[in-house]
Amino acid sequence: MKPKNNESISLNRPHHSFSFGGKWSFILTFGLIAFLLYLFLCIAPLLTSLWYGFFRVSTGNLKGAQFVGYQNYITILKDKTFWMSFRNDVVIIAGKLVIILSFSVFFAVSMTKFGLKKWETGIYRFFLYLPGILSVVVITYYYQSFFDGNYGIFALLSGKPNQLISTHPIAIVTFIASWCGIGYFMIILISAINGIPASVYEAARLDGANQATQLFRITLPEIKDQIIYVVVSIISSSFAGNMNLTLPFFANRNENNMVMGAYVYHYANDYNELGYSNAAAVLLMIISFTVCYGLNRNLTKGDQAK
Amino acid sequence: MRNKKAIFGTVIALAVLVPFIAMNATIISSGVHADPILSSGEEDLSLSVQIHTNGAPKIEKAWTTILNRFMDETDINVKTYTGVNVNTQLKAQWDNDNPPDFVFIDGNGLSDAAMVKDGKLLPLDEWFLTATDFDDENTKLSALIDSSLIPLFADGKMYQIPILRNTEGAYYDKAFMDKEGFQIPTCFEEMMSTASAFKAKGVAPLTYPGQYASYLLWSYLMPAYAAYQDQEFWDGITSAKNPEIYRDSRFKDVLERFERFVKDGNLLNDTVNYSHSQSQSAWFNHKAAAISNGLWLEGEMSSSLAEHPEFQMYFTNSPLRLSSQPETSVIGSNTVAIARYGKHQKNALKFATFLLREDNQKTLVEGYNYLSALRDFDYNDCELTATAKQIFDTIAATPNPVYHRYNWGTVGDIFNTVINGIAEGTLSVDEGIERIINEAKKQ
Repeated sequence: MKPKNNESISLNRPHHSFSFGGKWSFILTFGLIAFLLYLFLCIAPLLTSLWYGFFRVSTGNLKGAQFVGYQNYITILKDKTFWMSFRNDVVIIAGKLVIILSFSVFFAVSMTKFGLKKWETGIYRFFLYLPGILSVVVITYYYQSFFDGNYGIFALLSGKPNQLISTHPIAIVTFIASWCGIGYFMIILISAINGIPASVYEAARLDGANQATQLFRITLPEIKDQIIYVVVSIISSSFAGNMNLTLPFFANRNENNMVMGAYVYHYANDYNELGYSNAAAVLLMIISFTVCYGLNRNLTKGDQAK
Repeated sequence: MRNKKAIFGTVIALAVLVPFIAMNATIISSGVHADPILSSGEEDLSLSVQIHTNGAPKIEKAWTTILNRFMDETDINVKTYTGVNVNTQLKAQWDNDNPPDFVFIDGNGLSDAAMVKDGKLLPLDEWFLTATDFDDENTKLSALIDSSLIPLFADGKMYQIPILRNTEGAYYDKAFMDKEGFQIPTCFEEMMSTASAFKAKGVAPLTYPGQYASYLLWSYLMPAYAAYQDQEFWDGITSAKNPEIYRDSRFKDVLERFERFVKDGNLLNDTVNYSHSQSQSAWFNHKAAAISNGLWLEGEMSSSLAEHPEFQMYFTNSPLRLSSQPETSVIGSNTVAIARYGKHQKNALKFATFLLREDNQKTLVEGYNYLSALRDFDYNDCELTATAKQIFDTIAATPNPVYHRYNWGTVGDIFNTVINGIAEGTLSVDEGIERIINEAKKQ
């Protein structure tokens, strides 16, 4: 509808009981398909997993399967291995947060504030980002050799064989996962730092602020939202994602190197206990949702208060 | 406005619940149909087969040869699913009762026990009573195959047809052992006495892949149990029907021997964390004198062996037995099965019978380096490697073999965990036995 006399077109159309124009046509055209896909691909499998958790079943077919109610959930919650897996996940996440945050902030600040030449920045970015795009197969194969108790770097340097993979499995996974994540989050923080107006730093310099003061009083507060994003991303991706490293890396799966995702996989793939593993998957979802929701709520509490 | 919200909410709820209900209704009801009838009718010229191959060229070639032979002789068109991941790829079809007609029970991603429990495999007892040789209707299959090779399940029925025999044990490089003056141990006492000689030259007495601790279990420990030559004891521990059998002092004794061997530092460092290929590589490079493995080892290492003809692969039965006990082999079978809901069961059974014909047995024996399932098979006509001949002669010379017939469900998985725990020093023998008993109670 063409505006008359420079009137602007308003989207506040007269209210109709079911309009095919305006926002409803937009929603139906662009939102509905995506929403339906989300329901079919995310919500329906989740509910199916919840349902399977009530059965003792070894195949994908529930015919003849024994309905056990909440027994799978109760057994899991009593299983020491499940809680060890949870603990391992928490340790890996805590380690990743410390390592990734500190190194990605350091590298992001270095790339933007240390006066590096463009080509230098390009090279550093490439090498730091490279682990994030390598296949997990390549990464695990490389690090299995790296940490090999007989031929690995530590065995060669010390001249003595070791059993690091057995004695420090979670430390190794934390190191590898952090190494893979630094580059990706560094890029995000670089973008955020580049978005801070240069005039802010100029004003700070005129007021006598040194580099450290600028870092802690300007840079970090300005990129606080991105840091929160990094924290929430690490935590939310880790609960299900840690198993991507542990499964191929540890030939011998046991409670010392198991994470919750691997626990789900272990019972589905190694024991054919699909009902049990689906119940574990549901519990994993509840735990990760609770943690992420609580964290997001606490970290954005200040913004909400504003 | 309220009506609009109600309509919107109802649409969303239906959108969520309808597919969920439909999916599960399909899953629950899909198995409800009658068994296909094994009757003649219109000529059926179709068959689909699922054959796990581990990528070894000889094995791939063997199956291709047999399938082509079958298609030429019968005019049946065979749709073949093969490969390393074929079991995982076809799992959904089995779950939805739309399986291939014929399956070779081998490889990861396939549990024959679970398939029997879920009614996926066709019972074969009645068929086997009257089944005859492919070319000779007067010769019954039951006369050709040793019935001890037929796996037993909880309901006592027959679900699988053996087509090959195999065993597991200890492998050495004979040339290396002779060159270094090492003695190959044949019993536990010799295992302990020869270990120091190996270690003095920086060679670990034994390696195994911690990823597949079942290799060590069936190469070393289970033959040591079989060496007691007590069928009731053997059936008890391999069937897990009575969990208390694992409190038998003999069961503990073998584990304690293994624990002593481990505590003396006789396992290759970090072997518990080794994969298949890592353990093979360490053994091939003489970081360990022995590796526990099955008859597939030569095929898997064929390219390495071809590059190093000086390497002389040598097999022995488990040395974990006591010197007072007889040398014992545990014989297992490689089997095939017929899908209960397959559409071409007659052709599948025909193919299974075809596999037991002498020429096809020869092809399989040469491809796998396994033993034939036929009682009176003549190996002289087979093109076998020197290693395969040595292995076959060793097994033939071992008196009173014991047969692995039962399926103990997930007890085997826990046993593997126990072996690795003892090997790492994180689990005692008594703790391991309790874990095994607890798992046996769940079966």
